[in-house]
Amino acid sequence: MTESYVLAIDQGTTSTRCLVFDRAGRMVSVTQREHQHHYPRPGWVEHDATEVWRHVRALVPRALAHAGLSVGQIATLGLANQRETTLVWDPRDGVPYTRAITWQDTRTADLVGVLKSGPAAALFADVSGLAPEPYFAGPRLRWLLDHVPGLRDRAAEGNALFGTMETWLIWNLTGGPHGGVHVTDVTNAGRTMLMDLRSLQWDPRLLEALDIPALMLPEIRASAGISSRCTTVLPGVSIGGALGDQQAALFGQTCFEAGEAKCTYGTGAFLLMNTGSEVVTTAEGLLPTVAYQMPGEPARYALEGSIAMAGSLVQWLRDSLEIIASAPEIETLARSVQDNGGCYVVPAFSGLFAPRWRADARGVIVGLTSYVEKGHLARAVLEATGFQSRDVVDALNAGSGQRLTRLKVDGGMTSNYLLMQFLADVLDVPVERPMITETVSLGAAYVAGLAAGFWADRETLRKNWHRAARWEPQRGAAWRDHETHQWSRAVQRAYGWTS
Amino acid sequence: MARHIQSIERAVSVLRVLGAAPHDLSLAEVADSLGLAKTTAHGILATLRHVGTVDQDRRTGHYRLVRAPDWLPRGGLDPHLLRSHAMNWADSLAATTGEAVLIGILAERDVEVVHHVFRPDGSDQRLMFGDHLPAHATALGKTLLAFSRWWDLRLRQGTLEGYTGRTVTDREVLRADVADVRAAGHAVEVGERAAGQASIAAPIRAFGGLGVGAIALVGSTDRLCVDERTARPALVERVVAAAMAVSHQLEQPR
Repeated sequence: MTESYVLAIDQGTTSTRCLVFDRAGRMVSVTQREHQHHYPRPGWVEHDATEVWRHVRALVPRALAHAGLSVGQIATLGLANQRETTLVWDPRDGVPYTRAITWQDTRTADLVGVLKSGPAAALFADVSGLAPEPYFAGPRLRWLLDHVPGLRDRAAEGNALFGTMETWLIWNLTGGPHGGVHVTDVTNAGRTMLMDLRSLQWDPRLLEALDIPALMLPEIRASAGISSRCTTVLPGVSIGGALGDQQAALFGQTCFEAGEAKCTYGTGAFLLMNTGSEVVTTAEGLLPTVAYQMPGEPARYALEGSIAMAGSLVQWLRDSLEIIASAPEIETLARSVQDNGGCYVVPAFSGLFAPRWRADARGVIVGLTSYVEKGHLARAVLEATGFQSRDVVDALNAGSGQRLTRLKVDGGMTSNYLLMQFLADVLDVPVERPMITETVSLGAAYVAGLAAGFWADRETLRKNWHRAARWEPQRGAAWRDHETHQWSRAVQRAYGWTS
Repeated sequence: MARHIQSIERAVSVLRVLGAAPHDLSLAEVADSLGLAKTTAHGILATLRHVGTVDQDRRTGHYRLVRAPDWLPRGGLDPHLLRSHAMNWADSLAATTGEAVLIGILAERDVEVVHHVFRPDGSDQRLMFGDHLPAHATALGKTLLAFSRWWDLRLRQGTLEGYTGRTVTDREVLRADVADVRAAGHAVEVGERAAGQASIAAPIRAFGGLGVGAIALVGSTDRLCVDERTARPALVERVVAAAMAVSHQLEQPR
């Protein structure tokens, strides 16, 4: 008997990755390729979707070859993708009308400004769970309809399809112009500002408010059970599931129950907590979002807190200040001193995200005295990620009816032991790192594998989750109260810099 | 492509080794770590000294860089940089073997643990970070003694503490053990630190082959070993492969 495997494609912001997992959830193969970023104007960030599709076609066979596998040994395919990145293409030939507008692109700021002050602002928040922000996909689609000549006419004829990246890849994998299936999943649809978060359907009132024709939109399906088969790349293989990358990481960390949370520490940081079958709208500054939906089950929801700068602040220390030669060496510098020396860094380089959402804030370094040296600054830089996590967790605890009892972490910054210990200390909960840090791809594989019956149930997956390290809180309440108080004062000083 | 001049390549390798070493190096250490004849190494060192880039300690006769150029790392490899390069390989070693993994570096008189991956069995384990382990009673330590060439400098004085009946407390026996480790390319320790516990380690090498750390599998003797002296060959193979993968990554040009 030939052992079978699950293949995952993680279509991320910087690269597309293809990973193969065995039944124990162990990675047996990985290939990846970066795609180009296009910056046609300040604030605009685009990806070429045809380049991404070309990479997928090259990466999948290479991943199979590395592991010595044939297509017949792949039980199912799971997709995870960068969220909110927006594309419109012509279904007659599969050619996109423009490059994809990425989630980092801020061109819709003016449009969103109008929406925010308009009569529909409250409707978006109530129905989609999302107050209008340039971060989400819906306004980008509207921008395309307004700016691409003739696009509105093409849309009315049915010759313009909208999709986020998973929709684009599934359409191509299932035949493209020759019968490609036009679908999205609830986690991705939920980030457009167009979906009713409770009914999980496109909402006509929201479509009308943004003036978007329903004909362009993909069908919304559960995260698991996309239930279409590939006709190319992996011919005959079922597409078992798709979901947004942060939701995939939550699933990959096996946070299946209400109250379980993970935080991914990369360039930025994304903390998601499972809130069960309830949409929680009472957590100030956090986004209610769909965590996942299994076929035939009600959706599971999550609260999300995103932090704009985490690892990127360390990169700033390396590239702009040239205080360290490589990012990991910040730990050596930080360990050269005992504490932050009274110094705090608020990395509001482009405002502050969750839970404060202050676009008018800019970065500050406070508490400078002659005593402060670069070791203190290095510590303050790492602690900034910890304090921002604390702000998000405080908002979670206050508004979710849940209390965080431990935090599962993943991402590149988990190699920083000083930061992990600081997190445990400042959050006052144990911090745990799993053995497989590829949680995004693993989550996509899990969702697909459950739908395909490759894994029996979620309990089986829990058994695959292994703790690689655990940091216990070591500091007392007095220290924690003092430090978080000082941090809050530092944040106050960052507010209102731009006006 | 132009022909490369071997003596210049060798001279740069000598500079890299001196730059990466955590202490001054003897002529034998430089020659050994680059696989050069002593006379060749001596010629290069003498020339580098003559042009003012290398200094020789009057008392010990050991060599060091006068001033490290920007492109040479000074004082060994940053332990946190080592961890970030090694983490994926250490995770995968633990996942495939089902045992705990440690990464250690040289400390003043012993081994300092800089990375620890728990044994993936769901049991409660305490994170060993910054813990110090005796060099003479662990596979990590014997590997570092063998591949970092600090034996003479660090273990010449002091007694070798006995932890179990199997701990090597005789300096000459340890010297022979370390030579064996160097020849085999890995170290195995069975019950020398604690009864019933064993460890298997291999060197992480960079910059011309100099050992900058070691990676080890640690666990109970009955799981790691076939008998009182011999580790399971399949496990040894995996440890060595992981160590080589990390070394390879460290040698990639930045």
